[in-house]
Amino acid sequence: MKNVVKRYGDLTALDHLDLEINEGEILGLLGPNGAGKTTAIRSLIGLIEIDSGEISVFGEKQGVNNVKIKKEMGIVTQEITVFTELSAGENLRYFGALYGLRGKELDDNVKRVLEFIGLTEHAKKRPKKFSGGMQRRLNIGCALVHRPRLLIMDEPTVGIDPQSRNHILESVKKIAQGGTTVIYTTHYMEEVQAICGRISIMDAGRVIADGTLDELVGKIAHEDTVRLTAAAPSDALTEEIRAISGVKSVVANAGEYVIISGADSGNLNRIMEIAMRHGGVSNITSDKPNLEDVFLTLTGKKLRDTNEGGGES
Amino acid sequence: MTIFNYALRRGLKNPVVIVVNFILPAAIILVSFSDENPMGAERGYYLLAMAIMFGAYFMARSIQQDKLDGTVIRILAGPVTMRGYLVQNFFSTMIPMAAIIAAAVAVGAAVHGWGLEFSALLAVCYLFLAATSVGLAFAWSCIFKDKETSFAVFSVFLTTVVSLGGLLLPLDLLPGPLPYISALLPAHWAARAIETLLQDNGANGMYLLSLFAMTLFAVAFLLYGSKRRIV
Repeated sequence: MKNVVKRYGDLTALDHLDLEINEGEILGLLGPNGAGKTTAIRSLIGLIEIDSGEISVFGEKQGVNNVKIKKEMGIVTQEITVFTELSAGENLRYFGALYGLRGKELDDNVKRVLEFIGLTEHAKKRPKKFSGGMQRRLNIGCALVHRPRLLIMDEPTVGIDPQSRNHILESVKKIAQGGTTVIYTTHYMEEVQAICGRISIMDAGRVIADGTLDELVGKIAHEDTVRLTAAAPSDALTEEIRAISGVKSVVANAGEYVIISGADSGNLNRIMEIAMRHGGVSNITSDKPNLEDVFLTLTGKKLRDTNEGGGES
Repeated sequence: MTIFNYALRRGLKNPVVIVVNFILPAAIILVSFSDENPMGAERGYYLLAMAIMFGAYFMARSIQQDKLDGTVIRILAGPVTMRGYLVQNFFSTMIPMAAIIAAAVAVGAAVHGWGLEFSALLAVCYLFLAATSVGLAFAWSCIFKDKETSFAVFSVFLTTVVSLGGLLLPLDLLPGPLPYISALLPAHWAARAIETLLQDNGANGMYLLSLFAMTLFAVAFLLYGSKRRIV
């Protein structure tokens, strides 16, 4: 995607977005709500027209009517988007047929995907009777029947239990090992850290940082993260901490403060002093930065600070 | 043809569709054309048109269901153009509607002795009305996101359309300028076409003008339904 702009009225959802993905890799796309991730994905997969810029996939220009490119892609939507009146097997058959599979090829692929997502024994059941994790697996399966070269997964693990999440993450690794390129968006840092070879961080409709996990963390290696729980949180406390020399970012949320400060600046003591004057602290830690801190430093926001369940972005 | 096949299957499996498209027309043909009908035996033609208008709308709700399920995102992300998606959905409704209309008119002709030409012209009028109704359903699905709101508002809207349009009540009974205002509704032109057929027992200028007006409505609704952002 080169210099892509997409506007909805006065809102600029994609603001000269540049995004590149290499064949065979798993790219993690991170961003807070409203960063433009879903718009970027919908543009990339040819669901919506862009206002300007260029999108090319496998060397061809992408557009809403480019069925040749669309045939090579699969999408796992954030919501469960399967037919509730059809069984799991029928859903897979429908989406396989939509991509042109017929006869034995369709039968074989449906069987393969049912095994892959662990729903062979439930093939004749309707998704209404499935648990959240099983529905999510079917949602993924529907994007895999036609063996896409590029798979786009838009927060595929929202609202499911840890066991199902692990199953899905392992599946994503296997899909990539089979040669499929994957774009994976999520609010969960640990998922990105577990499966993605490269990470792009989006905010306000553009990519603000890009690289491997080590490269991104290396960008703020000269900084420390102080986390404290204030006994009496207040705006005055936030402002006083923010005014300390060397403090780069302060995010307060229900008494929990995350403060990014220059490494070895001695600010831990100053922060403690201020907090004690404002009613004391019940907990305080100081760590070296991780991906969450990179995100916080770059965007000034926590990934899950507004909506734990995720949402349209 | 995947979209066509499934939309057809889903439409015909809907119990509301069965009632409105099969049982209701049969009841109208057998009961409403009686001389004992307080509004006159001729009212049956208009009531049949009303049933077809409602029936076509219910058959065409597949698009709305796709939108509510979110499956439209997955479908349009696949190798399917918006035009192809709409065309397959359109024919998945119009083909069974054509069969239903043909069967209803054939039964009417057998039971009430309608002539061949009259039956054919009546069927054509009903077919144009059905196409308008399908177009209306497509356009409607672009306006409302919520299924319940959409259905509730549409029920009131369609009842108003058939009432003011002259299908539920004769146009002559409408007070003041309402008969003229009702020309803005597709049902008005179906009522005009039926009225012309009953008076002249054949196609004339007004009949053709009515078909043309219904075509314009259908095209406008379908264009609106295809141009509006569905995802």
